[in-house]
Amino acid sequence: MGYIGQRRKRIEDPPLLTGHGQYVSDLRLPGMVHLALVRSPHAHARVQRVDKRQAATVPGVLGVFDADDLAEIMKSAPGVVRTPGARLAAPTPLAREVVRYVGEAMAVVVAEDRYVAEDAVEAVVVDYVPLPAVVTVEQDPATAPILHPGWPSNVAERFTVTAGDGARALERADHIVEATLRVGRFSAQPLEPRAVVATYDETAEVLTVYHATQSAHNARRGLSAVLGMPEDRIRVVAPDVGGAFGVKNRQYAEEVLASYFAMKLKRPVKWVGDRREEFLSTNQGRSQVHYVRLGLDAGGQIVVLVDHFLQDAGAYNITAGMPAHNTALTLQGPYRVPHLEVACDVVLTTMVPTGPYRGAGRPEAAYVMERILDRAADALGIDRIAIRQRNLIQPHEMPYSTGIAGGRGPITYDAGDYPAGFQHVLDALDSAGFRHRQAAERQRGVYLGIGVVNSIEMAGIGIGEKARIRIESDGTITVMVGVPAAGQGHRTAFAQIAAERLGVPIERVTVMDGDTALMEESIGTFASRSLAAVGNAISIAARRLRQRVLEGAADLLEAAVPDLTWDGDVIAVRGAPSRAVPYWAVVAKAGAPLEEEALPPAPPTFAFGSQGIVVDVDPHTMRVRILDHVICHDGGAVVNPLLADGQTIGAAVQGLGTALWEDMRFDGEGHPLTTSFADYILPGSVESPDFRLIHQRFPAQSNQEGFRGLAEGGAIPSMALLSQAIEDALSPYGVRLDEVPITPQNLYEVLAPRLDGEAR
Amino acid sequence: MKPRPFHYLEPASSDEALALLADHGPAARILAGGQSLVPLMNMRLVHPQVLIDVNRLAALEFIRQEDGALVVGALTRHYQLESSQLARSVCPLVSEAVRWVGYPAIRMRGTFGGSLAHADPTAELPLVFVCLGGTATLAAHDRTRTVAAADLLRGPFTTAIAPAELLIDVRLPAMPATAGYAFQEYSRRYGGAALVAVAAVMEVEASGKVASARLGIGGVGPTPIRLPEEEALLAGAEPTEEAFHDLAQRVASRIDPGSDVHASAAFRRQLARALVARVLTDSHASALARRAQ
Repeated sequence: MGYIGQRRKRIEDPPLLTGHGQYVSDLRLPGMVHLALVRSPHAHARVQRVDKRQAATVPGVLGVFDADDLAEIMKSAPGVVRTPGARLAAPTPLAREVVRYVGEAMAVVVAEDRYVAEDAVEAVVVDYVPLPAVVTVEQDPATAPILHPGWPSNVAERFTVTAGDGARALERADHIVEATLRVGRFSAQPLEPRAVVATYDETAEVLTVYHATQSAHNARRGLSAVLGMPEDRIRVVAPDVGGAFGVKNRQYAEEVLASYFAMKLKRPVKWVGDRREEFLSTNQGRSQVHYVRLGLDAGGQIVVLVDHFLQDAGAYNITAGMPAHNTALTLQGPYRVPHLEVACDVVLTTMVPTGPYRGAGRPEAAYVMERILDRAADALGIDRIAIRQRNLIQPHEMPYSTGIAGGRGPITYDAGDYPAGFQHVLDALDSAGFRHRQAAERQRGVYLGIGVVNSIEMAGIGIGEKARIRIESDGTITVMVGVPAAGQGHRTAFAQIAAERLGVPIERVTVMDGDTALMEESIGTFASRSLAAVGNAISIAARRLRQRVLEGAADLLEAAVPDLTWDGDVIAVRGAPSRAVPYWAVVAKAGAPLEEEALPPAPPTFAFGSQGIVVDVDPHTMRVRILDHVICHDGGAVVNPLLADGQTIGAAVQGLGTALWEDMRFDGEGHPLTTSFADYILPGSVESPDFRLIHQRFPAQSNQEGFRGLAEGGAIPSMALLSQAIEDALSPYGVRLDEVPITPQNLYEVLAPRLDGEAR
Repeated sequence: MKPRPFHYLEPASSDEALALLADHGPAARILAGGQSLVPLMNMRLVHPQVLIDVNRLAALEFIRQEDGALVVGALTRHYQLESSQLARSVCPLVSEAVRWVGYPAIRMRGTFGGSLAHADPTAELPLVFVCLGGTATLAAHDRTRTVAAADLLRGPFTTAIAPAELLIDVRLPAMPATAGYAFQEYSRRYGGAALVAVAAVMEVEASGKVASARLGIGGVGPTPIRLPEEEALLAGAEPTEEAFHDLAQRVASRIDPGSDVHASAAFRRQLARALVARVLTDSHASALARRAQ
């Protein structure tokens, strides 16, 4: 059929582009009431008194509640902490006694509409006694205020990842370079903020929650735990979801509160976050400080990589450990690193919690590895390109075992030609001719810089997803999967796989997803796992179903399976076209829909990526203009190149955001300073360069179809890439960049002392 | 992000609007394009008790020439100004500057009057208004007065418009046909607020020497600033790179910008220095070109 590999427009697009999408905020159920949250204006404070009386009298208000009023649901969803002995600070839906970040919910208003609810929020009077804020992970244990009673420090989790001889190998290195590197805090800002509608069917005693989530099943598990209800009485549905990027995959207060009040009040309850709440209360990402050392031999070969880093968890470490682990596990990137020792402290601060955000620890890893390689090249007098070529894992070394045990099994890079991918980028950028061009442009006062970096995209978590395919007697084919979609184009890709492996026209295939009533279990869509996990399950189920249909047709046509052809809708006996039936005749004969399902294992996939960039940096205004941006990425067996391109470009733009524009800032008292799009600057289409894409296609060896995750690769190299390129452009000034993002202000602070009034 | 309750009034004429303003005074706010006021209300930073929606007052939506000046009705949308041939021929600096206001969706609704009345110190049109020395017509139910640019803008988001007054139109003196002009701003992203914006109008002699200049800068003080001392220094100056750089340096050292999350005062000074030099160079080149036409 050729559907796999076909560049096809998305099945999802026509309804979404014509305003017929069904997002949570589009749901209007009869009798629906609305929530608004009273959020802390302090980063850290003791709640002395909550006066709800005046708020409760606002016409249209059904009730105002704080943690004491809702004691039965003041619990936490199970947290994800991997390290034995780690502490877990998990929030309750409303803060009790102490608030630990600006935006933390500490009371809730239920009202007939959102306007009234917000009026009442303003009328709630809370007496806070401010406590000292903690706004950095670089804490002095002697003086830092402890955020959670009984803890010896604010370090929640401490873990190490090692390979080979670890830090001891440093003694054998001819050269050691070291650096302190800082990665800022970022906010994902999906176009659709978080949102939930809960409704309770009293007769069936079933709670239904419409939820903008990356995992309906994970949301159900969490609600079941906190509400104390069995999972089979809770249905979670993810309708159209307008972007997620990792932040819509943990339990937040609002889904618990909406569910609770839907059952208490016997009325549907809606909460749709606004942009400000998305900044104040939704997980943020990155925010790490690294103290890294790289040991090399005299020839510039890496001997050992040693890194100690701090992960800012925010006020609660429910999800911060995940990206931290990814950073540690992928730090070495696509390079030969015989000895590795990474130690991480996950540290609490009085800011909104952090967790996975597109790349989820991998961009930080690439940033640290690529920057320390730059430092090593400079220190040893080796070209920055050459040091990479010298250390990239070679094709003949595949499969390459990193020696890292890994939380998800041993980390082994399965296949690929990394040096070739890197060379594609160098050639596309004309890196060989660049120094001449750079020198000529500098004569005119134009400062060009080049950046070339490599990365590894580790995708998947080692756990599979089930898919089920059903053929009805009218020919309808339904693919059922557990994972929701948040804009990736799952339905298109999954339909392509099902149509290809069944051998039917794609128009016959409908994909249903993201509903706990549809599928018993699912993990969710994150870690770029859906294609490899779900796609292979669909493929296997489809092949099995094809075989069953052919066997049924063989009976009907009184022929042997090998003598049959299946073309479009029609199964016929080879050489006897009049002996033919539509494929659904088999279903009619069977008297019931035919169904197959599969749940294959889904080991992680590892994809190489390389990016190159040429920038023009104006030292008078700190304006960084991207003149050329080349991306090479190993997508494995690509189902739909259009989707692959879209994912890669989208990720690259988000990555650029974290390199140049975005910057989640807090003042010394922990107040966020960037809580609107006027202050938190997202790149738009005008800022986005015209990317040139190069796809490598080495099928993954770890799954049958050879699929690789590719949704984060575009974002992984950006911070390293821009740092290197801007540093190169400003090399006449001797600028060193040790921190991202490189906003104009940040660049000015580095460059200003070197301008000497000369730049105008 | 929902506003507090307010009364909504929709007058059908300017007289009716002025009568409503006389009744409600400081409790009322005028709703024009709503591109600043509505977000501020939604964020509950501004909470008028009464909102007087002037969008039906078609009489305030015009661009015409009177006594040589360009007269722009307060309700004129940015896109109308942007595409006006009359504006381009009489006062091309404003045509140039208005393109920097937000992005197309904002320019479809935002109004000239709204931009002046909002008095954002980083906004483009107040800068042009100050740089060109325009005047504004303010009406109350019982009187009408004309206010000069320097008097209208009092501070950040503060104007001389009294609670009972409505901004009717803005007059911008016609630019000489041979005058060159330039407008540049620096913002974090396309359509974003300017960190620094600079506007200039320049006439040159046959020798290329600067005959006269007007120079204004925004984003570096409580209001857009006109720079008469530098204008005087420019008159008769040789148009060398060095002269323009020296002048830019002088501007940078004289302004007193504030700091925010996007730029420190020192960085704003640096931007002012870079932009002034570029705008002077560009407006000089523009003057030479227009003179040659």
